[in-house]
Amino acid sequence: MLEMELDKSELLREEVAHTRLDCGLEVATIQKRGFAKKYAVLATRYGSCDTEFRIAGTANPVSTPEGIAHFLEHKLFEEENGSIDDIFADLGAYSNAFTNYTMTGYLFSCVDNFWPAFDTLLDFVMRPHFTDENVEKEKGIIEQEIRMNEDSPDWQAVNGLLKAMYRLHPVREEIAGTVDSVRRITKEMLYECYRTFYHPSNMTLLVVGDVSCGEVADRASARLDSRDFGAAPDVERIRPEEPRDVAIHRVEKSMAVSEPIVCFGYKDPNVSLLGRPLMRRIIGMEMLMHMLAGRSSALYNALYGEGLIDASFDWDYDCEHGYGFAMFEGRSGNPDRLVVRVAEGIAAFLSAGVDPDGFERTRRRVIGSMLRSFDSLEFIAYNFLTHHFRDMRLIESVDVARSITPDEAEAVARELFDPDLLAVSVIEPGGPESGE
Amino acid sequence: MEEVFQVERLPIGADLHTMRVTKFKTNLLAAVLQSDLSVDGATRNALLPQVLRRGTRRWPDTADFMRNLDDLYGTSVTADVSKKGERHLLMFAVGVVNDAYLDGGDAMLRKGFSILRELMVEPAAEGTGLRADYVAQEKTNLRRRIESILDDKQAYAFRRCNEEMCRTERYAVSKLGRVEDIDAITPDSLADWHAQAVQEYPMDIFAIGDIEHEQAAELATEAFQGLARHPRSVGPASTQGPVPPSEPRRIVERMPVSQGHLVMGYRTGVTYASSDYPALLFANGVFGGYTHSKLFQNVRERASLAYFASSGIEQTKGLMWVNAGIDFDAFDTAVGIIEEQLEDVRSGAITGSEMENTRLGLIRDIEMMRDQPSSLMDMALAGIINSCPVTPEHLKQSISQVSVDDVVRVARQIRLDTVYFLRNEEGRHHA
Repeated sequence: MLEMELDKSELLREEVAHTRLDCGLEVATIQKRGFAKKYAVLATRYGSCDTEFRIAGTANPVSTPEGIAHFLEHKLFEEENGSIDDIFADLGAYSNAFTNYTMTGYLFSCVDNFWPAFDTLLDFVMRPHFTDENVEKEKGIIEQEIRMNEDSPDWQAVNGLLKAMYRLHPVREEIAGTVDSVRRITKEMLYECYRTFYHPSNMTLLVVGDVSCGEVADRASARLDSRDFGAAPDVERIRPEEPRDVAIHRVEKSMAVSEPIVCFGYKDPNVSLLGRPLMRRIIGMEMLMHMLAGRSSALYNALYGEGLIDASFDWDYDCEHGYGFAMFEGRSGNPDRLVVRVAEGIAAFLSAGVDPDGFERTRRRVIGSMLRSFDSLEFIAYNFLTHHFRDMRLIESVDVARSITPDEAEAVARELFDPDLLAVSVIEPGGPESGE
Repeated sequence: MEEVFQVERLPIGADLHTMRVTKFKTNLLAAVLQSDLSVDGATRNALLPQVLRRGTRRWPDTADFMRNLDDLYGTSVTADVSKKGERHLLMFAVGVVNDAYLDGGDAMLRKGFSILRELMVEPAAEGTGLRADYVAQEKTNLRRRIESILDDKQAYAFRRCNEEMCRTERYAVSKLGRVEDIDAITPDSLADWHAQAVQEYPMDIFAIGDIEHEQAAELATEAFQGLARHPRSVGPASTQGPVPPSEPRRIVERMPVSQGHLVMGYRTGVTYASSDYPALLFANGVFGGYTHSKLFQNVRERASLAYFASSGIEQTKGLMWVNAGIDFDAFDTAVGIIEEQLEDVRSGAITGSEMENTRLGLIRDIEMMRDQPSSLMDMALAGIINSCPVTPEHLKQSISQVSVDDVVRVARQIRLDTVYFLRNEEGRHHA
């Protein structure tokens, strides 16, 4: 039996058992007793932002078309004799995958037949089969996926904001790429990206459900450790030097919507953190933004009462190594007025300082919502991996929330809410600008 | 181990459904009021929960109400409408952290029931009406919400297909009502509507989580005993629609969109209470419910026409839909392939693995409901509304007995009624 490390949270009453296999793969299990569903995700640190890279010892950097990580995700399901979905379906397991800016994950969920499905997951992700023909065939499907996103005003609003904020960083590009960039993708490029980013040492396997952690690690080891994956490639991810300021303060786009949809926010000037410090920054900002603009805040209720926002109004803060932003979004009849009112609200909030009672109340709320979120296996799986790839530990969330001080959170907000770093993206009702 | 609801008719004129499950960190408390779906009442029903969630007698100010919930470990509160068949449901739910995770005895559970009562029956009032500013704001927001369906093209296409298919039936009424009925609502008329709804609509209370039935019965009774309820009966949950036309109706609408949004509406003739219901679930699964289904395999995997292509059913009214996002020029090809797939199901061109994978998929989906209190509640509601309580275990057994002949028999009853396509403006000029 492999030696496992345990991370525990007393308040959550959860524990993560994890280890690293000889092949380099990290394996973690969160056992959820009494749950029917079992959920496994095999993820790699490779997302839509990883379009340029250099392998140590080679002269030239490699530049790949936008959307290639997502394309690769689609194509990995293809096997020599058809789609791997068929095997999962034969086992009664539901299979799927996702690609975001920094990670690609392959998953299945099931009630029965967990172990054969588990083996299938490890096998297919570690066994690429790309052909000129199956690569060509996928382009029509992905084009429709891109078109679907083009018709989603919320998606367009967020993407518009990222383009406004970032001059160079690839987070400004669509995860699925464009119809043109996808057409340029070839079988050879897919194999090159696969070799670069799908070495087990770049990947993590997570199981959530009523499954024994020791068995997960042993089974994965038996499946993979006898295989020769070669040495881990030494990869340098090339990211352009992103300037501090935003690319443009305001962008807009016309779509068939009932009223304007606005997405605006502040570009984070401090995006070099990882691990505990990043976790404190994220949870601290979550608490602060709730106090500033959450449903119990004076600002939210004032804007709601004035009709500047409705129940669609929401906010978020996220920070990754290399990019980060605090963002507000929603429908509004007067987007520019809303932006001004929120900016004024932020200034007033900061000049008044953080109310200690409100901070304690928010702390209780955040801890309660962390407890609630551990009832969802999907939430645990996705967020465990997001945390893990930033050297953070999801299981420490409650401890971090308990220890954050108002001063600490306020300092982050003062750094972040800089009027120079504000960008606005508006979707206006109307036809497309091109006048089709 | 199977969890089942324990059901009890409480003297307060409501049925209590409890399920003790200890694996969750939160407990779900909910109350559901049922009424007939009608043009006349839909808009008022839809507006009511939006106003009620703004505040209560004890916490009339929205910010104060929300701060109180923050204080209670982020207790969640929802109040909204939904529809099942031709029933309109007002749903109120409160999610509280399980006391076992805090150091406070049964405090959260009792507080949760109390919030549920305040939310539902003790609104923020003003004179003889509901608070006028909240009513005015929520009237505007309801209008915006109804109009914003346009923003989600899939949802819009889906609704337009239903409006066309069921244009002579109550089912066509939106759960949010109609914009033109909003203006006439006043704080007083909404207060009267509210009083009538909480006293007369049939009511079911749910408690799912680490809760003993007896304790829930006591807390629910304590919470709602002042209501003086006298429930009246509601009409049928579903009425038989007209026979679909021999040639399906085709509706094409144009808008500046990037993708064509196709929705095909069918009548199945089979509802939740029918002995053929498990076979309908099966037929839908073989046809378009999963990635192994004929639609995904043929529309996406073989023809590369779509990113998604699937079918789904409405269990109370007896409807089925297919939807797919396709290229504008692919309309005829896609409709052709989709119809061929259903024809294959009707003619029994179903492989052993299509049957077996559908069976496994359906059983897995039912099992997984055990991890989701809202799904357990939804299934219980389907049983209540269709007067046909079915436990997950029972449904699994019925599914295990469905044969290819059953699937074929049910598929032959499924009739295409309406084909709706939302497409771009461009083709208009050279079509």
